[in-house]
Order: sequence, then C-alpha cells, then structure tokens
Amino acid sequence: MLITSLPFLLFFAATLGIYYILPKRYQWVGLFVFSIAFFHFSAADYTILYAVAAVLVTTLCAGRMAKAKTEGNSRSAKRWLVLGLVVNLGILATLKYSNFVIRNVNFAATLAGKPTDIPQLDLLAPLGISFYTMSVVGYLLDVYWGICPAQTNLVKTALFVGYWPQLTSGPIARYNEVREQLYAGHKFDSGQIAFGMQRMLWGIFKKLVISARLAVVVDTIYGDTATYGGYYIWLAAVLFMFQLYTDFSGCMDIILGASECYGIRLPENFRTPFFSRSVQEYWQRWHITLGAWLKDYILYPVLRSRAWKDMTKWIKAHWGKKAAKQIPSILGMLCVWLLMGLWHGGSWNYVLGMGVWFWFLIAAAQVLDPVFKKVIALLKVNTECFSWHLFQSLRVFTLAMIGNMFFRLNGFRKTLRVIKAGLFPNNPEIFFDGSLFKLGLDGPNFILMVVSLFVLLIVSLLQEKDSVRKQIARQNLPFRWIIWYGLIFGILIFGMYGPGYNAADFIYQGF
Amino acid sequence: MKKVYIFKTMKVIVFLLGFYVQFSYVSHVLVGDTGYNFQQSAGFFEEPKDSLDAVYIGASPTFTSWVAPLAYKKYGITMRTFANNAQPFISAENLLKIARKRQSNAVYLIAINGLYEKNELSVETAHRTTDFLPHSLERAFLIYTLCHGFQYSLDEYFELLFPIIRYHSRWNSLSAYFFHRDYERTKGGFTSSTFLNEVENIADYYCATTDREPLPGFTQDALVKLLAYCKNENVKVVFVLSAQYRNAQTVKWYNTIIDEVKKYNYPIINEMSDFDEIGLDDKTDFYNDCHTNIHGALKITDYLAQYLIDNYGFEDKRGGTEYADWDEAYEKYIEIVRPYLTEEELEWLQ
Repeated sequence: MLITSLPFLLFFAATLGIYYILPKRYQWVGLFVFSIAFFHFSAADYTILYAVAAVLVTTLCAGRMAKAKTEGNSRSAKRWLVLGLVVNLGILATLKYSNFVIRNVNFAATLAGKPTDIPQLDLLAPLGISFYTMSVVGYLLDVYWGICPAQTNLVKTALFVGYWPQLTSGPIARYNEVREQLYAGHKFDSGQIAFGMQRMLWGIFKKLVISARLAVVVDTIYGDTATYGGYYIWLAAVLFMFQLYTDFSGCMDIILGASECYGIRLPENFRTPFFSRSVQEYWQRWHITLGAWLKDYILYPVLRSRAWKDMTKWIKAHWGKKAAKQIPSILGMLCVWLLMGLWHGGSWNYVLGMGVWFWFLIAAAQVLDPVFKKVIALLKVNTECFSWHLFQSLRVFTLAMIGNMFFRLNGFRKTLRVIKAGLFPNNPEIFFDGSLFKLGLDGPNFILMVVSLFVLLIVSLLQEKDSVRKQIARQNLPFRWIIWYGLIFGILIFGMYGPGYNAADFIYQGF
Repeated sequence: MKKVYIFKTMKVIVFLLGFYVQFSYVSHVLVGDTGYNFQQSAGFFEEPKDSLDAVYIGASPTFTSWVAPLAYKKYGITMRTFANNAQPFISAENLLKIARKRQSNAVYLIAINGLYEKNELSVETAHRTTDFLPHSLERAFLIYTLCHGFQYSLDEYFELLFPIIRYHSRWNSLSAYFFHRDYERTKGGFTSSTFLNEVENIADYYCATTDREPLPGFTQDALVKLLAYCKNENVKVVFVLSAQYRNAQTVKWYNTIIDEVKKYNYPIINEMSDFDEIGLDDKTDFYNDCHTNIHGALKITDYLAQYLIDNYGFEDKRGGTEYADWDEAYEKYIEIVRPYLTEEELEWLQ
C-alpha cells in the first residue's frame, strides 16, 4: 500500500478513529493490529514469518540476557546476545545479500579461470527489513549494555519491531526513545492531530508534486545518455539530489506525521541537509537515524575494542602520536561507511557511492584540515560571511551529488560512462532554447517543478529558524487556512497521481 | 473547557465545509467533457423540482432522437433526457432513483440500449455517466454498480467517485470554457453539427433476428433489480428500444430484455419494429448506424410524444408562466436548427 494513495489515507483515517475510541490501556494493542493489517496490505503475507522469527528470537534473547545479567552471568548474557544478533543479521544477510555474494563468487571464479554459474536466489524480503533489523540489533545491544530494560511481552516487542509507520522507510527508532510512547495510552489531542496531518500533507506535496516531476526529467536523461549528454547529465545529477531528498524526506514527513497523530513522536531523519557546510555535517542532517545508529553501534564499539586499542598503540610506537590519532579513527570510519554502503543494498555501486566515496571525503577533510586552514588564512578568506557559507554548502552538495550518481545509476562502470558523457558535448544552449521542456515535462509542468523547488527552499529556510508548522500556527486563522487549503489543492491539482501516472514507490521503500 | 471543545469542533466543520465547496468547484472545472456530457447530465438538474412530465434515461440514442424543445412547441409536453454517451443500461436503476428525487411524478422512459460485455466499457467512458451527477449516496451506489458490473478496480472506483483523480492533470490545458461552463438552455436539444448536417445510408447495417440470448449475468441482475424497483415504487415507466442498428448478439439481448419487460406488463416501444410506423428512412434519417439525425429525431419525437399524450394525458404546458424557459428554449433551438429543417418539417412544427 503506497502511503500517498487514497486507500492508505482511508486506512490511516480508519485506524486513527479506532485508536482514539479504544480504551487507553488497549491503544497499543490497536497499533499492533493496525501494523499487521498494514503488512497484509503492503507485502506478501508469508514474508511476515521472517518478522515473526525476528520477534520471537529477540524477545527470547533479550529476556534471557537480562536474566543472565541480573544473575551476574555475563558469559551467558553474551551468548544470548550473539544468538540474537546472528539470527537477526543472518535473516537480513540471507535475504538481502545472498545474490551479492553469489555474483561476486561467480565473478571471482571467472577471473581465476574456473567459471562457475551459481544461480541467484529468488528470495522476497519482508517490508522494512533493513529498518527493523537495525532497530532490533540496537535494542539487543542496549539491553546487553544495560541502557534499556528487556521487553518480555512478545506482542509489545512485536509492536516495537513492526510499528507500521516505520515499516515503509524507517526511521530507525531506538527502544528507549519510543517504548514509553508506544505502550502508553494517549489522550485525543486535536492540536497534535492537526500538526500531524499538516506534516503528512507537506510530505505528500513533496512526493507527488516535486519528487514525481523531478523523477520524470531524471529518468528521461539517465534513460538515454546517448542522446542527452553534456549539461543534461549534470542537470539530471542536480535534480536527482532534490528528487532523492523530496522523496525520502517526504516519506518521512508522512510517516512521522501519521505517528504524531497517534501521539507517538518518532525520531527525525532529516534536518535541511543541503545547508550543511561539510560532508560530515551533511550526514548528521541526512538519514540521521542511520548515521547515528552506525556511530553508536558500530563506530564506538569498534574504536573501543581491544584490537583497535592495540593497533593504536602500535601506530603510536611506529608512526607517531599524530598518526595514532588519525589512522585508527579513519579505519574505524571505513568500517562504518562500508556498512553504510552495504546497508543500501548488495551492490558495489552502493558500497562505492554511499560508502567509500563519503568515507574518502570525510577522511580527506580530516587529514587535510590543517592545510585548508592555512590556505584560508593565506588568502584572507572571511569564513563568517554568507558567501563563504553558500560556497561551503554548494561544495557539499556537489560532492554528495557525485556519490548519489553511483547510487542512482546502478553500476560503477555505467556511472563513469555517464560522467564521461557529461563532459561532452559543451551544450549550454539547452538552458535557453526550450530543450528543457522536452525532457518528459511540458513547459507549464517544468515551470511548476522549478516553482515548487523554490517553495521547498523557502520552507527549508524557515525550518532553520523553527518548526514551520509552529510558525504558521502563530498566524491568524485566515492566513493559516489559506496556506493549508493551498497545500491540499496544490496536491490535488498538481500532484502526479491517478491514471496516466505510474505510482512510483518511494526510493527508500526497497531497503 | 466545553466551550473550547465546541469552538474547535465548529472550526473543523467550517474548514471541511470550505474544503468541500472548493473541492466541488475545482473538480467541476477540471472535469473534461465533450460539451454535451455536461449539457445532458448536469442540465437535467437545472429543471425545477417536479416540473417535468417525463424523463428519458438512456445512452446517446435518447438525445439524438428526442428533441425536447420542439416536442414542447408542438404538443406542450415537458420531457427531457437524462442521458449520456455510452451510458450503460445497468446504470438505469440508480439513475432512475437519482432522477426521481427531483422529478418524483414524472413518467420515465428507459432505453434498453447500452448493453455491454463484462469488460467492454472502459472507465474513461463510464466517467461520462457519473462525472456531472451531484454528490450523493445514490451516485456512490451507481459507481459501485458500474465497478461491480465492469470489473473495475478499487482505484478505478475511487477515480469515478472523485473525478479529480482522473482529470487533475488537465490544469495546464484549461480554457475559459471550463471556468464558465454554461448550460445551452435548449432543454437537452442536441446541436452537434454531425447531428444537424450529416446523413448516412445505414440500410446495409441492418440485422434482424428474433432469436434470444441470455444477457450477461450482471446485466440480467440489473434488469431484474430495475423491474422490481419500478414495481415496488409504482414508477410510471415505459421501456424503449431506440432506433439503432447493432450486431446480431446485441439484438438477441434486446429481444431477451423485451421478453422480461413484458412479463412485468410494462409498455415497451420498439423503434426498430415500429420503424415504418414511425416513418423512419434508413437512407436519410441517420448520421451513423447508432444515431438518428435531426430528420429522424423529429419523426421519433413526434411518435413518442403522441404515445405519451395518448397514454398519460399530459396537460398542455404552453403559455404557462412557469414554463417560460421552455418557450425560450424553443426560440433558441429553432434558430439553431431552422437552416437544417425541410419545409415539411417546419410546417409540422406549426
């Protein structure tokens, strides 16, 4: 069930009504039932068995782990933790990475002169497996570290794992962040529901009005790079950045808004990432929950591990203090970024585009930081003015754009070929001779796309100050209503939905 | 606390009402039509409540064969069509219920044309039947009937219910017409140039058979429901087989329907079997195999009007102040069609 479709909105309205009719102490049971229904409407029923397995193992392991810890039996606790991690990650790895491994084995065998043809598996992963597995793994580690208590109620664990708004594209929630909200009763709060719905509207606008139009242009150009070379390639690259952002953040707005209507605040996943001044900051503003998860559950444990400490000592002894400070953290980050790439999918373009590329940028920035500072001082650059901030943001945008080209173009060689096609011909005239109106969108639709990107910019600028919804709520009623009516009718009239349009899934829905 | 609650509720209601008004207007503006969809469908609702002697429900052969303003001028009866292009017969019961809410005492003529196989009618075509009907529960039931009959999906159900889903992408091709869509005020009198100008010899298309063939299941169900409704509600109803040449299978279906209707003792006017009596000429009175032109329409109008007067004794409405709009409709319509009428036809009008 696509979360921008009318059936979804009806599903949501019905569940919201039932939720607030239910006695408060049973509201969480209602959420559990809604989640099962959502799963049923959105995915092949049998795939729920994987999620059921995850819930059973997680509840068992967390419960036993907590018991072992109270008994002071840390070895047993560790065993239960390992079991929980192996089963959950094993399911994820089997369903998502088997074919990646098979393809690479076949390739390696061919290189070794012994070609093999291990057939790929046709496995269907359950909805949101990458997201809920992260949540579950984090939860098990938190229980092991004593950060949160174990949940022994199977249905409550199931709700944490399969809370329906999270199933589409996250965010990756921490048990401690949501447990009280999920299981507590919530009083009907019209203001909160209005806020939630307003956020959903903005998310739908981003997806149906902006992202869907951008997708048409991007698909047209990338679908025929033999015809569309030169500036077309860079136009598509820029537009894809906005497409990905409006698609993913739009999805998040719908999900977080829907959850807010139930009285449950899920963690934010975006904070105007295009205003970032460094790549590191970009990843603190883009897919925040994934970045934070990798930092807390991969990077820090790796850096704190005995092996890493030994390595740091060795580097210090052989290469000096400065190297000992930088090399272990850069290598630790490599682990994180490799996982970041792999999380996006079992394919080298993800590993390179969403992983290694960003690792390289951050590591280079870290290593070259003293050099940059010297150059800035030498050139007497004012680093406090708007133009410098703009330059920094554009630099980050461009670097992220290159990484996203690998993400979008599905293949390392293909991406290099497309980048090469972007160098020739030199055709700046396309921006003036009406060529842009032949990229799948007619003139009015193309102009609408540009206008809606300006709307996005204005909203993003306002977001930097405070919640836009709060800012609007402070206005007088006629103005508020004009804005909300405008948004609703903007979606109804300008949205790309209905017959004649391919109702494209959210890009991150496949993860 | 209570006051705050009431105020908030009122605010929500006003917001939703505001939304509904704007939504209706925007939907109306965006709906694409060929012009006569709007005239035939929405035009019907312009008639004052309980002002019509009769209502003619059916597909396009109804409004290409019934010339309401001329029938009024000649006989003083007020009957207009509530019809649309390719309107399926299975929609008749729901449309009858919708129409009766406005014209509760009228005689209803129901054309039995508009028969289709299960997957034959596209959603796009079905829109013509539903797009201009006012929002009501009965409209939703009608859409359900169509979706159930023609196996439309849930998405298609929603797009029939809310036409904006289909038409919203027309925003960049709207013209002033769609913002100021106005009624022709000819009481449904058809003015298409093809109807007025063209003649096609359709003698070759003729297909006569007395055989019967079972109706498709969903059509049979619709027929049974329609007849039961008419009986239960004592609706004054006349079934009509409009003059049009169809293939053998469709004619067999018509024969089956006629048999069923006769079982209920409802009158049926078969314009195909009464072809000569009506005075129709297949060489001069049609503009294609399905539709009569203005000349054929005048003959059928005369025939139907006389039948209705003979059987239902309608009062002569001519000259009544409350029917002034009918006089105006006649004046307007005759100005349009006069150049196309023969001397004999103009004489008939006097």
